[in-house]
Amino acid sequence: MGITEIGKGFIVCLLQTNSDSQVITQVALFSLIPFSLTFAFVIFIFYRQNRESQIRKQHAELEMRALRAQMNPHFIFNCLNSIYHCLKTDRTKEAGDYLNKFAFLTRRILENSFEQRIPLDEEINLLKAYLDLEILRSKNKFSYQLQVDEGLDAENILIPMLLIQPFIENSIWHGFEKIENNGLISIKIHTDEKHLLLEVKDNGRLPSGDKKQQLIEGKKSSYGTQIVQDQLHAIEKIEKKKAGYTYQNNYSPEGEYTGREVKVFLPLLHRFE
Amino acid sequence: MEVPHFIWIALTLERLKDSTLISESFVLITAGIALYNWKYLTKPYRVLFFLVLWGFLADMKILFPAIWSWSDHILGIYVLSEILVYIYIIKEIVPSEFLKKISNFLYPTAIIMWLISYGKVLLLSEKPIANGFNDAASSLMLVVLAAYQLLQLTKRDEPVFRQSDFWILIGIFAYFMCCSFIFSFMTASFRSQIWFLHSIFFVIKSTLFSIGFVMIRNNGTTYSPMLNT
Repeated sequence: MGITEIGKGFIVCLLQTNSDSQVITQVALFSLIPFSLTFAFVIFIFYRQNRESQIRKQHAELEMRALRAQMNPHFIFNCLNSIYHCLKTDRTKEAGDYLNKFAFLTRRILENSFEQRIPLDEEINLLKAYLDLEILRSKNKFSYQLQVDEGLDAENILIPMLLIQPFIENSIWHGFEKIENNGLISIKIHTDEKHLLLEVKDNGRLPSGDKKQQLIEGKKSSYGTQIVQDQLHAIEKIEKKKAGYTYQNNYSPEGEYTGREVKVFLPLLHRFE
Repeated sequence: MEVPHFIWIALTLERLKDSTLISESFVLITAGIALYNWKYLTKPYRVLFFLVLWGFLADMKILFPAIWSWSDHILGIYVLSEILVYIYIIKEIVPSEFLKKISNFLYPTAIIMWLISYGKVLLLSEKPIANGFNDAASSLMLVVLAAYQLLQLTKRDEPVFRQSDFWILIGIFAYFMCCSFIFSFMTASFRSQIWFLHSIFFVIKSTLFSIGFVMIRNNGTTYSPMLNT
């Protein structure tokens, strides 16, 4: 059968349907109406989700602000407590130094308190100041190592202020509770492709009693770490990317507790994004 | 009025029953994708897979009438099962108390509507013909349900286009939205002539379902809750 024959067959078909063709055409064109309505509804769905997402983002940002507002009094309370301890034990000179450093720290915190996030280098400076303060308070009971990945653009990477401070605080107040000296906190800051990773590791000892069991089982959650957890959850909502923390207790081959390691991960965010 | 060229081609294809053949081949692709991702499928998705297969078998009646010559009721039974299963899928895909309550009313309504439409066939053993009112009303019911659930999806954090539920629901919504109009025209004489339109929307539905069955792999992998180990 040649092409001409196929063509003839095609025309025969057209002629056969010709009687209803006008109506069918109208039906076909009219069916574009529900199709267009469907398309419009899909666009509405996208618009609505976008709007709801913005509302959720605003809500999460307000939540972050509220959490930061909670964090500062928490931090100030602990510092004032330390100063009180110095004064109580007649270490007035140390209390003076402590107050001095504390004033510096609170000023930096105040300066940054309006910012949603601060540059990583500023966060590192705050952490150093805080650690110096704690070393002073604990009479050099511990030291710290801060390792920042060389390739890291610390000036432009942004992070919520004092994000890992509660974990450091936990190491000092709980991990080093039973040691006299040689405490060591290792802080490592680096990135993978999508995340900023902050690791806090200590060589602390387990506290005694109920506190010990709670710490091993991970049931013990300080007020500060709870705020961090909420902050990370808010970051997840805002950035729609994973954020969180994991922790593990380390043991020697003999089964002796050798400290705790906390890893915080959050979306890598640059200053001009 | 000048008849557009593509409609003429579609009409010719319809005469050759090719449009149904093409649309049914899309069903097989959808079913194949669902089978490939079987382990990821939740219960409503697995039910949808069986409905898709059941639809394929029922549509064989159109392509090869001899296959189902033992029963003229097969399409009638399919129409009922389709609406009941779609109500179930829409209800289960985004669980909500409201829809649970509504569905208790919708199931019997769908059955009663179907019985009214096909009662004559069942009682008087008449040859079944497509019923425009029943199909259009059932379709509208599913359109409203799917639209409600689609609006619920916007409350999730994940973008809708990354959710498998969105693709399945939009497939149901688009198909029944467009077909409710077509079905209302479906008198026996007119049905075969506008069947090509049904086939076009059927292909769109199958494609959207296929995307849904592919996207199911993303479920639960985007924002996992924070992990404490």
